[in-house]
Amino acid sequence: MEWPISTIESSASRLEPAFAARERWAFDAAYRAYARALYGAALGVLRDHGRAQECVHDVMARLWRGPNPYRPARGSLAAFLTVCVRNEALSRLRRDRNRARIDRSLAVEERADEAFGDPLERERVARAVAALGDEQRETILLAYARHMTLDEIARERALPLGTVKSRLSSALRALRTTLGKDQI
Amino acid sequence: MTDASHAHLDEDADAYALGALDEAGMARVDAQAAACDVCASRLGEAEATVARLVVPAAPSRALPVARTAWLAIAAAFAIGLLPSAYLLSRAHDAAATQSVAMTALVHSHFLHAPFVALAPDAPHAKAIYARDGSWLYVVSDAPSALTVVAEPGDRVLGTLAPSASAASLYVAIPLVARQVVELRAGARPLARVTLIR
Repeated sequence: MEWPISTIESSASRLEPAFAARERWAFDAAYRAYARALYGAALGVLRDHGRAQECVHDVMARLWRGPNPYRPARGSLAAFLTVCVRNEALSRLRRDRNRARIDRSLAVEERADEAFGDPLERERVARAVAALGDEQRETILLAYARHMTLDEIARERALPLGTVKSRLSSALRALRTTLGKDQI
Repeated sequence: MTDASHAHLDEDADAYALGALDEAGMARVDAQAAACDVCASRLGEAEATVARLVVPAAPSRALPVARTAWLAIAAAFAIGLLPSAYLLSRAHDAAATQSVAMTALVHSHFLHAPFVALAPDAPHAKAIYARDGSWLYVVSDAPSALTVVAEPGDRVLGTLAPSASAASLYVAIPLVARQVVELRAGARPLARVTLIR
């Protein structure tokens, strides 16, 4: 059964310090509350159910065993875990020598026609992305959707690293401003 | 809040959250966020924005039991972890769609149009579609699964899948110039929209 959103939200203020202090119940509760987001994050990168599960579990296990860099000053635990899992998935993808195979499988999956996520949130995000300047949008696409590092983007676009970094940063800041404003 | 001082994390926090740093760069950011509240908070902001780009997986399939490190640890501590309800039969498709839709949205401007009611019980619904007609996204507040049909030709595009606050369908199909799309409950038309490009 899924927890009602309100339960998750009201417990976050209790959960976050406890997770930082490595309390067992907090790891359990965080996993239960955020599993969907975490699997979504891993699957979006790895595109393989088994590998995505493994990635989420390995990250949770690593944080449990330590080191656990989360602390309340960092803000949302859900966001921390999501980025943590996504970054681990990206590391695995990049270590995978056989990247061409993955890119091909992505092309095949373009026929996918299932529903996804909360459609209203999708629409908000889509609007925010559409409102970005062309350079910002292209840069964030290369990073987020094509999983490229700063170095890779700089090489592919023949741009200085600093330019790529500041475009990426200004793109994310612009999204933050727009999405923050739109938040329900 | 963030501080303009070059000593604190700034652009690197965004690159970290987007997964665009190499492992050495990530380790540097982690260390800085661990040592400084201003940096931790700047990083947290970037993470919160990226987290909103990530689409959660659908909750429907049971987790294959054991075999994973995390579950083994949980079992070892006997904390009664049973996250089975959170996972995920359509997760794979949903994530594939996520990336496709994200790419589509980032590449193209899109248009949107409301459905017009044909019946008193018509739900509020909206079509969002690519300017180049390459994809269509239907969002509705309908509580039950409705069929999305393209006219002419009576072509069934799919069924709106309900989620927490609405029901939706994404299809990557070519749309004709003045594509008519209907929402139906069984064979009964509830609402219709004409997509003009």
